[in-house]
Amino acid sequence: MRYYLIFFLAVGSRLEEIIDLEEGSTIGDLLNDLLERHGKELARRLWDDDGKLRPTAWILVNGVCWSAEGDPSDLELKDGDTLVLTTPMLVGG
Amino acid sequence: MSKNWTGWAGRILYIDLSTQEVRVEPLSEELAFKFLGQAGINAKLLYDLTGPETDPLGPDNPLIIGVGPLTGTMAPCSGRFSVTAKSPLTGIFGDSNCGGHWGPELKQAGYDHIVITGQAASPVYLWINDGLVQIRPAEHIWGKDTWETDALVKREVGQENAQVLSIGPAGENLVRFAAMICNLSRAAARTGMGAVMGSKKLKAIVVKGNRGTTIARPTEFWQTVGECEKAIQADPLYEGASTFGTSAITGLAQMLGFLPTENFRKSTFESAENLRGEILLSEYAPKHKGCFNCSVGCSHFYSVKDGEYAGTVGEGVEYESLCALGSKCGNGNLPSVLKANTLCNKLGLDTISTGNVIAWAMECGEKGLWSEFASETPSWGDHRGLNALLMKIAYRDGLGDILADGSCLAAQRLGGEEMVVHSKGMDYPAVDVRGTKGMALAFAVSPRGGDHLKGLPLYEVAPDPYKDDILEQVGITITPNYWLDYETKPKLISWHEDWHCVVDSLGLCKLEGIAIKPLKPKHFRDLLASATGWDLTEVELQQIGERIWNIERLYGIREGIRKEEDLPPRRLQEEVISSGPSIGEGLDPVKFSTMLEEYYQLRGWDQDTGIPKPETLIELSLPEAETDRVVSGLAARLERVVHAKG
Repeated sequence: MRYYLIFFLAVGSRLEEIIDLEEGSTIGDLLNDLLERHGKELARRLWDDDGKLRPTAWILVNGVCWSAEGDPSDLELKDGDTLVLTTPMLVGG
Repeated sequence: MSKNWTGWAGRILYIDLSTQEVRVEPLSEELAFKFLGQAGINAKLLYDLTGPETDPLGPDNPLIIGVGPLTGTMAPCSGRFSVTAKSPLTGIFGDSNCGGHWGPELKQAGYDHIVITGQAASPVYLWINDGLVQIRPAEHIWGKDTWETDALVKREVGQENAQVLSIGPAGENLVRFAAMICNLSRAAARTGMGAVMGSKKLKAIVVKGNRGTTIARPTEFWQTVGECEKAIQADPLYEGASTFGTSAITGLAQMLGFLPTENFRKSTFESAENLRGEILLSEYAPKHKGCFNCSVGCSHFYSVKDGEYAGTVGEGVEYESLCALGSKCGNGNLPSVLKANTLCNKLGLDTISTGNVIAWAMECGEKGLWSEFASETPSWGDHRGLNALLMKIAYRDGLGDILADGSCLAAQRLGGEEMVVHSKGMDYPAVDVRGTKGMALAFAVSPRGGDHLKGLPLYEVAPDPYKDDILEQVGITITPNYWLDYETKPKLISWHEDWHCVVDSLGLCKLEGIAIKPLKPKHFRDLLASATGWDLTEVELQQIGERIWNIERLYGIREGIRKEEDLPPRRLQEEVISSGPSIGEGLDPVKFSTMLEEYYQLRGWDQDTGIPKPETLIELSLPEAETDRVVSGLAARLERVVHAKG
């Protein structure tokens, strides 16, 4: 799991960590695991007040952006997957 | 200050350094109402005062500095000013925008613009303190860097709180991409305005103002300011912008595969992790820094405490500089990038052009293009060699003397022209536009050359969070992988160009004023109306932006720019991205051509030449004299050589 920008801040200025999950785990399981590890600081940046994943929360799975409108239980993760949690902050200068 | 002006100061200061004449003229209402201020009025003044015969480094090239009607007010992020002149780097429209605190001080002193002509007999600096304007000797500070100059002149004028805009050795030595520096690290960097200042033997402009600014409708203004601040701080990207500033982009550019590396040969960099904003923040940047009246505070003080570059301090570092002095040169050593950034600020150099010309030299060296300068040419990633060559550029020493004339002239002299990554003579910024088709168009058509700011479609790469705003404001529906599409980009880009012109002419910072989020056209309209008493619709305000865009375009047309120069750099046209997430992406020539044609159609420009049509100029109330002049110039297109007069 790799953390960028505000998610780097949310997890205590950590660039990356290894997450061990059970076989067959999905993105939803991963997000719940992260929530347990990192609590409110991560939660408020990931989800809005209605519990929806914020459109400014980008989750990339092996370099491919997973849509925030997707069902978190849809995508099953595999051993060795690299995930990135970032925000699309692309301001010029 | 005129009693009738609100927002604007209502005065233009003219200084002739040859005759030492100083005079103040009133700002004309027509000029303000047609071109707004700052960049817009600067552009019109430059258009009127120069022509193809003007030598960019000669006494007749005016150095025009301007602030907007909102600069120095309590409007959010209102610290900007623009510097405009004929560019010694490109020979066409030169224009640079800067933050910090200098611009507001000029407004407080009671001036909207300064127009500096002529050439001093020996080095001088200007001291402007409200109605007092002095031309003071500067031989004793000629040769000092900008940090030394800042301290010395403040002591001399007896005002520690004065604001100083100065050049370093690079400007004095007429390096064609020299910058003007204020607040130690804020730069009017692109297009070589520092060299124009140096050609006039003008070392610094010191300002202290006590006049204040009058607001037309203060209660309404405060209410609008409050709404704007709420919008800025409620923006979903506010935390990221205020914490990381533009250094946030490095990691994302690498991730998405558009980080220019090794002179644009590659689009990902194996050492990009070292250049991430997260590393900067956690290891080198203990404090934040902001410009005048800005609640974002996107910049940082940095300090290197250990290792080879221990003792390096400075402010920044922007993404463009991280890329220019980092990945473009194959350099993943962040402390060395911070050192190079500080050197550029002290010596007064544009980091983008400096990094690009060094990267070009590295590639030429690798290919064995020159033996004479082999020992001075660093290889990829040689950060010590990079910093050494940077110094040589500032002092025009050895290979540095050739590189100081910019990539295009250096290549004309030494070979390697096919490896120069530029449009219209100015080096390309830190986006591999093969992966972003709209930016490819924007950078190619910019009136000042390879430029990322005048038409930046900020959210092209990540539009989803803003898709509703883009639909509402621009009338475009975002498609999946929008950045790879060519369709709708002409409309996206032309809309952004108009509103960038507005923001650059009001005095506001682009970070918060790139027109869709967090501040939108209605905010600009309301701020302008309440500050100045001038009520415009959004359509009317956008038309002013369009007028400014066209006067900047006309400047280039008069210098010989035509459609064939509205193109991306040769390397980006002819090669596809060779690795990384964007592998295989290129610029389809047919699709790009179609996109350009549609852009011209939207702009009302001739399809064959790119010249604004007479009916377009008439609709924009640009005088018919200009129309005739330009149209008749079709028969006598100038042979355009990049700054041939140099």
